[in-house]
Amino acid sequence: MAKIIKINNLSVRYFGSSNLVLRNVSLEIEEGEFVLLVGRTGSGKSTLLNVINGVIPNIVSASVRGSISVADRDPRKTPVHEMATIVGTVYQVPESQIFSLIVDDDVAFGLENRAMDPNEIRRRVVESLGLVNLVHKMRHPTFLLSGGEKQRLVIAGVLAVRPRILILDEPTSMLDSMGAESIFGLVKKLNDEGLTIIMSEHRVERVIGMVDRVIGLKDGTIYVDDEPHRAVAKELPKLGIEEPQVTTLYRMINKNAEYYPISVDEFMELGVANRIDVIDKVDDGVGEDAILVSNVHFTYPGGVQEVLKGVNLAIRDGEVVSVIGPNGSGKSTLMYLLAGIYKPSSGSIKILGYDSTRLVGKERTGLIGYVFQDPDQMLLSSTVKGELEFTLRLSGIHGRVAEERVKRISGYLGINDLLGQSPHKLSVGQRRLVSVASVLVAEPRILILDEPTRGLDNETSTSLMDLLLTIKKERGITLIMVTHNMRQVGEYSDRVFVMYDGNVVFSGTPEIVFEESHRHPEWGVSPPQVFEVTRRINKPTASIRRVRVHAA
Amino acid sequence: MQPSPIIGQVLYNPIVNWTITLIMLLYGPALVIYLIFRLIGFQGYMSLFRFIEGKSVIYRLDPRVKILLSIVITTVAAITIWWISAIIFIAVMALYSLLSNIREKLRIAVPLILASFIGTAWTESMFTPYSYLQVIFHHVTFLYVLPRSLAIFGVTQGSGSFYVPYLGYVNNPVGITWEGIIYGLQITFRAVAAIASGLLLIFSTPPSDILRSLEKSGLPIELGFTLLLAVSSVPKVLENSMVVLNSLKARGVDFRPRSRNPIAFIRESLFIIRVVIMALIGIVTLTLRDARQIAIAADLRAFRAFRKRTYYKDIRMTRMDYVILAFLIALLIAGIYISGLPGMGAVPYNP
Repeated sequence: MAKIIKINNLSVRYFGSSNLVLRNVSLEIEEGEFVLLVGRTGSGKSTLLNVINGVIPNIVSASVRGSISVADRDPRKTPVHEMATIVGTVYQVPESQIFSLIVDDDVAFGLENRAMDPNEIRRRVVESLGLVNLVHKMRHPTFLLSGGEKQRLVIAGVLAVRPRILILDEPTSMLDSMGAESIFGLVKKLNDEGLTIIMSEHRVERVIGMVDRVIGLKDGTIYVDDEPHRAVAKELPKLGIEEPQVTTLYRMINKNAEYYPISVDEFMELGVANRIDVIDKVDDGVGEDAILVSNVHFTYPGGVQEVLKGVNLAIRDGEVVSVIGPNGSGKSTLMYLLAGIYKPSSGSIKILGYDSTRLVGKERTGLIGYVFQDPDQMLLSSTVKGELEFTLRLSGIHGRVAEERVKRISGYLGINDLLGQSPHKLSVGQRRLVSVASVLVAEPRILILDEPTRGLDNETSTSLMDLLLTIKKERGITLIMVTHNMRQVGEYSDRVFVMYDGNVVFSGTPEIVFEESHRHPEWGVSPPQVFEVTRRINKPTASIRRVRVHAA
Repeated sequence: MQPSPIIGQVLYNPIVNWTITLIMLLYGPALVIYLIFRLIGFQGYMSLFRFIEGKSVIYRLDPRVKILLSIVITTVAAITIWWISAIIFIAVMALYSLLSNIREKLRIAVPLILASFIGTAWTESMFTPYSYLQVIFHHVTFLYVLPRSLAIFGVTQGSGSFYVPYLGYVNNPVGITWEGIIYGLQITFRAVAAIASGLLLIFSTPPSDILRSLEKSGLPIELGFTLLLAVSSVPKVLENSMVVLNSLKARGVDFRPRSRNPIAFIRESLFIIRVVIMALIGIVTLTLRDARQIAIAADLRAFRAFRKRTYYKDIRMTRMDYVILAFLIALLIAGIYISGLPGMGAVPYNP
């Protein structure tokens, strides 16, 4: 096969910075290959991708040294729109890549700009929408599409110019699990049809099975570049990257293999599953009902469609609970109601024995706190300290007590050094910590977290979750997480509630829920590998921390 | 007519006077906000941009003809006397019957039109400077007098001595005038005729077609693109606003001052204002943080890379378009002629 990308000794430094983002990177990619690019935030993944499509240095200024050839062109010397006919690029946030209000208009946008013949444009619009399975939504408003559909539309717009390479920079980090699945399926199909794919992605376990090659970056250099089974032998978690759970399991059994399994079937074929033991779960001891929701119905003000259709649930004090289910099933709405942002249309909600509709202001913030999905939706003050003080003021806490609280919580979360800084200048992970701190400072007894680790790399999300669990243990608070990350669900929750079509349709321990999910594809739940392995040996567990290995 | 002492005493009792004054001062903005937020709401705004296809003649017209329709309607309404503007406005509203899914359209159009009607009528009738009214109408009649201190807010204040019903002669009165109301109606009908015809265009034409046709008629593509981006970011901005306000509510912000104690009430209100400003900054940050990404994505899709552009959809004038075009020209000429007749022209805006 011909090499379509040849990079030799590439070094990149952004203007105004003294550090090299990429250092002496050399690699070649064959036409038709599917490459997974991994590395923690800041390792240089996006920089590498943006050098290949020419955005660096043509739009984003940087000094780029070394030789680069993409389909026999130097992207540095080729206009970006011309490179785009060879290399299509899809970024994280679909909304910032969609320019039109109607689906087909958006696909046509790039072609109109290239002054293509209108008949050809019409042909390509249908063709591209067909590839991403959106022809039926051709005349649909773009902003009413789901996240997954939006990202597919972006891909259609990129494919319309028929590129030979498709670059995807964390294309699913803004999507729910259903949306992410549809993107992965599509990308795989496009690769099968011959398109070269380079994708950076944090959900390694999910995608590693479909790629030809894994390239891992560490501080701007290539640390791993190998076929998947051999690549995982390099202990990706040390790079801050997720590895398949079966790889971790097999490493517990055999530390020095050159070749590790990446799928459940491969693991089972190795015939070592009988060496796995599962220890019992330690019961933290849970108390009375912290939250009691009875027959809650809800319709948004001015809306016609009922969003919650008679929800019943009870969460006990001190529990860690996950709420899962596809987008639009009512998860966020239910959390809004628990947090008192809206009142139920009918039915009742009791928070630690209090009628939720009667709780206002500081009475509420001392009982229940809500950390929103995107820290930028919460961080509105000019300093981190101001952000915490804002919450304290709303909770009626002033003076020395307030000072103490700020000190204590920031110490807890390790953000003391950031107190004087603007929250908007911090890294994604730090912003997340500040948003958690700004809620925790009111010392609520119940904490709701909406997608607490979305957009974070594996290392940051693991340390955040561990921190939350520590706080939970020490302070005895109740944690409610809305999440699509099933590894997290299995690892951290005592109980799981499945929401579907405005109702809680199932609940139980993660193991019971994962087992049941096999019969309910509509839930959009794909259980973590550790569960799939342990259920086959009749010792089902959802948490890899409970797995032990005994000698052969 | 002699001032009726009882009615006068009631009307101009300080408490009644101040109550009426406060209602007068506040109903305009309050009603506008109410109409926009309660009746239309988030969903309504979203559906403003949700173009639904239809089959009637209004959908088949060339977008440029519909744009011209808005312009001619606005012009004629602006140059003729207010009741002609009102007739034109009603005629435009009659065209709404050609829209499909008319109930949903009216659910948005009526509050918007009503809101601008009330908003404009309110500002223009209460706040038009006396000198304007004097120049336009040569005579000003005061209907009701408000506390004098309101002059600093710009409420119309006469200079000289005026007869006020139930009160008698007052020097330099501050208050509501008959001419102010006429003037308000005049300006209002101009505004609503323009808004109604503009909404008609939006309801019957996909936004991208409006822009394509404007570009075809010589609008610079950069401007068209900026407009397109502005329009397409509205749903996102609205969504961001909802989320930011909800996150503030979750942190215990109560957007309604609840204290009975007036000082605490004012303090709470001030705090709410501060929070709203914080929220606005947050919404702007959320909206702008992807600006660079948008610019990169546009460049990758060859935006402005070539001088010439082609159009995905054919925009061509049909016979129907020419018929309407002829009618619009006739309407414009008639409008100009009528406005020249004595008493039929519009009162000038800001003489």
